Amino acid sequence: MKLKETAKAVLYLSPALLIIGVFTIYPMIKSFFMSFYAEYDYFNDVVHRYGFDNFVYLWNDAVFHKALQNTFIFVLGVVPVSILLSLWIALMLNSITFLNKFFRTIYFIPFVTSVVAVSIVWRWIFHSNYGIMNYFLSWFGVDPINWLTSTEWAMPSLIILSIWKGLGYNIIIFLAGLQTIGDTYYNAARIDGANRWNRFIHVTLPQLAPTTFFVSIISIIGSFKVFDEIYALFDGKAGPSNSALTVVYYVFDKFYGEWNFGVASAAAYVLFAIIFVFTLLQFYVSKKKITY
Amino acid sequence: MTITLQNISMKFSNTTAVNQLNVTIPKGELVSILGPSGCGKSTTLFMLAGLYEPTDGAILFNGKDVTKLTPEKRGIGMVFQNYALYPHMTVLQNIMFPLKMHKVKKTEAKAKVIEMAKLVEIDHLLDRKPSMLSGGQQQRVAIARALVREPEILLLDEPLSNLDARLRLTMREEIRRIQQALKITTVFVTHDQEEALGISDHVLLMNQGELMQFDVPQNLYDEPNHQFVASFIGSPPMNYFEGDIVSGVLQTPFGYDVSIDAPDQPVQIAVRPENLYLSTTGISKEVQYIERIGKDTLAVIGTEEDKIRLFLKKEDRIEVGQAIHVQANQKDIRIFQKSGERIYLKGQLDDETQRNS
Amino acid sequence: MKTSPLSKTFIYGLLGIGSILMLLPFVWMISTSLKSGNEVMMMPPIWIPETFRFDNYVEAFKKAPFATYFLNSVIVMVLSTLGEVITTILAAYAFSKLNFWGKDVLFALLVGTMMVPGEVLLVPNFVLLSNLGWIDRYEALIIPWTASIFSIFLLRQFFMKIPKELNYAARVDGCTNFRFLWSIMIPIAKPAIVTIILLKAIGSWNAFLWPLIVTNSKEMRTLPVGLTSFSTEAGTVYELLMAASTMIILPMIILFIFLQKYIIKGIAGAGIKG
Repeated sequence: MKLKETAKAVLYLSPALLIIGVFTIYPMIKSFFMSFYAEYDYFNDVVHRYGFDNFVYLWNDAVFHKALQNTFIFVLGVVPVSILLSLWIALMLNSITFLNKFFRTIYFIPFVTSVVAVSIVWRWIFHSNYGIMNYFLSWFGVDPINWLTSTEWAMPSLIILSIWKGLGYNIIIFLAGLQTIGDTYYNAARIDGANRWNRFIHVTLPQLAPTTFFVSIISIIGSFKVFDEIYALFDGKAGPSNSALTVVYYVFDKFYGEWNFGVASAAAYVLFAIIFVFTLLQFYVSKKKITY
Repeated sequence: MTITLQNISMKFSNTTAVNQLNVTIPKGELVSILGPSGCGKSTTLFMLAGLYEPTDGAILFNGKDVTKLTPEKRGIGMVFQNYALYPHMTVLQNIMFPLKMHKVKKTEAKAKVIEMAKLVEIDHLLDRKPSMLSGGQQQRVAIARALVREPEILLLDEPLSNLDARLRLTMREEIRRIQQALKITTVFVTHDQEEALGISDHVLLMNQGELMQFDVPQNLYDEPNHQFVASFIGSPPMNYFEGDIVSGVLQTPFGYDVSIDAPDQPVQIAVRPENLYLSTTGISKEVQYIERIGKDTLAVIGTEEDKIRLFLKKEDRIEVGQAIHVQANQKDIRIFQKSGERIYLKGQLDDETQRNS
Repeated sequence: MKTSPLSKTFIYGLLGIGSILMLLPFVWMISTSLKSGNEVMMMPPIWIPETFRFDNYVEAFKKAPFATYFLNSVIVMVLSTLGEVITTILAAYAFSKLNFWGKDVLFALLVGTMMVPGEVLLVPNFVLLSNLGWIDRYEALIIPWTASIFSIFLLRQFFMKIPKELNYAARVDGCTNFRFLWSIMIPIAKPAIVTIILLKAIGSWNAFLWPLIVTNSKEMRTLPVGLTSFSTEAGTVYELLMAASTMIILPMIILFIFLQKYIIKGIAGAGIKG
């Protein structure tokens, strides 16, 4: 019986497994070995020597340090603001019924659009002379800012764009989380004499903890992988004097710009290691289930 | 169609769900498989359907071995506990589905569906989706779908357990009516003894994968062949008293001795609540409380640990706290070994063999 | 919860301002795409151009082969989505309804690989595809994307909710495994399958890094890649750039507005699972 089912299962699974095996699992392993290529001849596909050279290179490479640093700044700039904003908007949406769906749709629209295309739109918005960003700021007496051409404003531009793009996704998840909180808790809290603020602190926030945690991890992981925005916003460069260089951009640059497969693979695995830590954290906490 | 189970066993990894089952279900009868949950009754039904392959033994339909046959080749229809209607199909499409799978022509199939729908009285609901039907209606659709290919065996897995009490009674009579109209051999799994005893020709009582008794409902109640059967069947439950066999004589607590053909041993004497009556002799106990159950009055006597229940007659007048004597006639007592097996008194065995033949 | 009319107005006001901020970039994009070169450079900016210059779109099509890009994007989207749906349905069926050796281990392994960021796969996949001679061909754009562990996971969860009695009933009725999948499971799982199709289609349409790496010639570029190279070439001709961006962005917004219920359900569902 089980033998027959196994034969059937092989039939059903083989298309998916073939694709996943060849284009996910094999490259995953291959990439691991590639990160240890110390001397490699791409044209003949011959490895002369394996070693930790690539990781040593990364350890000493100031550009990679810059990329790591920028990535962390980006994550710190995007994630907390995005979560606070989206939670706030989700709470407001949850308290209204009229136009609720309409607003939800609008906030979500950026998420379904092409990162590259909207980044080019934002490039135009950030334009120093004719962009609407500086125009709006001029209402408040702010002098024109060189958003995309100065090293200090390149990263904030990227952060603003990313928050705008990802807000809708977080709102949707928060709304779904809010829906799972039953009215009984609120009624009980009201009977106990809790006011609006107390209900938020003692009912909504604790009940929403698992959702908030999930959103945080997803946002962190997503932010670590930022690339398309940078490429499009700075027209195929990583910002003025690498001011918006991130780890993935570094990988892309080493690989596609310099054909240095070993260092690119090693850097990709460093990224993987960082993301892995956060994934494990999420796994561990969601296993434990944050409940109060 | 006669169904024969020969030494049927079913083992799942390390538990034995059904153990060495031997039984013959007569043609055209409604037979229920009864037992507590986990006794292997559904497993047995699934083996009859061909959804499970027994690990041991053979299943014969009219003498033909079908053990290795797949479900659709067995000529069976089946109704599941949750009805298992296809949610995306209308009632018509649901009932027609088995015919479609067997490539029956559409016009022919449709006529057959309407005939079946009329039989189960749902011909006005053919365009509805299952989610728009009540539990009873879904049940009827499931029966129609099971019958549409004119199977020779109908299998029902706990078909009434998802219905409310009133509907259960109606549907149970419906199943009996349809079964008799078609004279189809029907096997029906239930954990509700009232259901089983109410409509079956024979009841197959199982416990822990073993066949306990296969008999007509009346015998199951009157002549249980095992203490498990005696305890499982009947509500309020059987009363038990301690007895002793000493050199061929059973000493009863009722004050009389009965000669018996069995070795010396302590035994359980079982008496149904309706067979105990107030007397001046017999067991003496204090009345604990009296309650009315429908038209009957039930008295509970004895202590909390050792309760005895009996039905009172109209003229009986007793009060709580009063000490009374209860008595049982010799013909109404059933004797079981401590291991559960029945010991027959002289004459009882003859009665039973007569009734069965 | 009761909210006072005053705070209600306040909430609507805030949400309204937020919505305007969310939509402003799109308005600005469409507005610019219809302006003349002079209007683009005006300060303060004008929102509604004197005349709507739809010619900008024609111009963009002339300056770069956007028709080819568009066609490529459609081909890649349709074929990779089709492929993914087929492989996903088959695999999800096996994982939910068949009882085979090594099922749990295999499934855990697949779900585990979801943690690996796609960037790790970039280099070896490129090497593999160049060895296969697929670089700058549809194969490279489509075939690696015809299976998704995430989709298999999503659909399996849905399939698991279908009671096993339905499978039994179908077997008694004479269904083969495949027939059961086709006639019973797929129709029941339609909402989940639509969600998978939509998320995939959007992802494919917007994909950038992969098509950037595996295409060299203009003939093989998809819209996002074409747009970035156009922006390098066209430089500061913003009305044309915005026209091209509109072409990429608008189809997905329209798709989303009409089918948002499936998309939002899919995303919210994945989120609740955590």
